[in-house]
Amino acid sequence: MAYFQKFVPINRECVFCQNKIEEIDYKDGQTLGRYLSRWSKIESRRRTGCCTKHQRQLANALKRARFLAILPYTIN
Amino acid sequence: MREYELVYLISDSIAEEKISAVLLKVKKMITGAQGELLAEENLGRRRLAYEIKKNQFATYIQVNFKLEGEKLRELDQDLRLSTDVIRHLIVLRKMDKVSVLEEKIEVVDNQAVEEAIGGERSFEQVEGETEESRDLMAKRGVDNSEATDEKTVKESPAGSETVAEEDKKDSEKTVAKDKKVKKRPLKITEKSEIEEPEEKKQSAKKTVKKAKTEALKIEKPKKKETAKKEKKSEPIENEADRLRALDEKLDQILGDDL
Repeated sequence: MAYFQKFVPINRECVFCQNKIEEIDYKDGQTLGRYLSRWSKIESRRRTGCCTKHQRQLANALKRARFLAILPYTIN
Repeated sequence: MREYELVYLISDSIAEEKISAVLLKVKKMITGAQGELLAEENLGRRRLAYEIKKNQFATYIQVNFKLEGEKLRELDQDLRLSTDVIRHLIVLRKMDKVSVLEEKIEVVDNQAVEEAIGGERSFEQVEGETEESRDLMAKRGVDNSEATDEKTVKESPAGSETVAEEDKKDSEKTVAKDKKVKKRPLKITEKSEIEEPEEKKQSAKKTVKKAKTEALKIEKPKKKETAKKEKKSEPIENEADRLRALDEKLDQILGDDL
């Protein structure tokens, strides 16, 4: 449990809402990479702290980035 | 026509000089399908997150364009068949708020035109309303006459003065009906006249037995009701006239158009 509590965001508000980002860019590997786990899995809403709308967009963008080999599907 | 975004990877086995040729080829694919190029950008040579067809590196190119949705499949097929492009992704761009608004405005305009064309229905409805209103008017007129007759008969014992005043009222009403003008000031006068006889009756009540007073009480609301009916009916007449005039105007306009 201690492991999970470590990563719970301090700021409860959605980062994309704060920065007023309407559409998440799937070509921006650096920002998207933050929302992948150690094994390159998509992080849950609990961890990312995103609102429903942006979590959906984020998951979509991550999948597109994976298809274009910007981000990995897995890490061996 | 919708706006799309295409990102494709050019194999690293192709020399840098030949990349421009590939770009031209892809552009021709889009323009060949009657598309409209909006923007093109070279995102640079990047290391791939995983191997694609034995390539560790690839050059990313982004193209924004407009295309008919039906032609999209052909473009997709062409890109898949080309050996230079190792991977591609076509994404529908979100519409700007401005363009969405423009589309909505167009739709609204169409609705307005349809209303103008299919205006015959609305005319029929209006006519029906007017006919109904006329019928109601006739019924109300009958009611009024009956009510007034009853009053005159019943109130004759209360006092002769009230009868005379009521006659005055009736004459005024007839005048008002003939004129068919705004009768708001007249209505007020009628009200005041109605109130006066009631006061007289109240004074009379003290002398007359309780049974008679009760009868008068029942009669009072009747009077008020009749007055209200008149108020309602008169504006309806005015409205009907106005609607008829509007209908004629519209007929003229539509006749010219058609």
